[in-house]
Amino acid sequence: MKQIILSALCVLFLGASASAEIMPKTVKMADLSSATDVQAIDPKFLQMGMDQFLSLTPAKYKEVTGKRLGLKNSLALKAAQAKVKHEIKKNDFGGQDPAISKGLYVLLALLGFGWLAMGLLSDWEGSDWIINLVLTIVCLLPGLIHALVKMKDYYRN
Amino acid sequence: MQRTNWFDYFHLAFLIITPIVVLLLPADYFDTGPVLCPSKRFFDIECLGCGMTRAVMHLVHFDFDSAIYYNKLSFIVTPVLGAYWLLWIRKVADKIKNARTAAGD
Repeated sequence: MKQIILSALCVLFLGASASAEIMPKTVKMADLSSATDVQAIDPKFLQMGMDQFLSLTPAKYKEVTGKRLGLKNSLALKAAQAKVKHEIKKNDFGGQDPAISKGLYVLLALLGFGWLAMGLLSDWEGSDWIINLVLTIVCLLPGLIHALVKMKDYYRN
Repeated sequence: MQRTNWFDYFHLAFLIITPIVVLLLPADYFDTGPVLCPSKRFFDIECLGCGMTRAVMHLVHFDFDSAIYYNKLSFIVTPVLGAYWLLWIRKVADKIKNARTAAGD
């Protein structure tokens, strides 16, 4: 068992040579297939940046334009945002393939090696993996929960 | 003989003060902050209750657009919650009244 874990760790360290930095590419709203849904609400939304559109709320809309969005358009906005998010996840705009697969990440987290997966994915930068290591040492469960909470930061689909 | 418990008075005060505090707070008070729903947190999937606090907060401030945006079920939950809250206040008030009557106040 010890040998299996050690060899698995060696394979993982070798696999980590490829950087796993996830940098979202700037994508315009007009490039998306859900652009028609967005345009139906307000054509100005197409000129917005992706993050700006995804963080838009009826209150923000009123703040910027001075007009109410309306009940129907509020629902349409929520649906369009969900569609855009789904499309981003599906197409995975920009970014490189993560160093380890999602399944392996979960497996490592379950075995108490979530910190290792996080370290490999973040190229041992940031404090996530240190926090996870401490939580895993304290008790396995907090480390597991932390690893699962942070998983969506490393995988976008 | 049933005696009035101080807890009942605190309970009644809590039930009356809480809606007042909620109305006094700005409508967007809960709009920012960490996501607490495990479904959203672990799997990035919104459950039926996701956004309910924000939606109810906007609805009680008559901001219907934001309420429907955050959670459309808030239009069902808020009246039910309001009615239940009033019943709760009545129940505790009756309990205090009965205890005072029994004590001969």
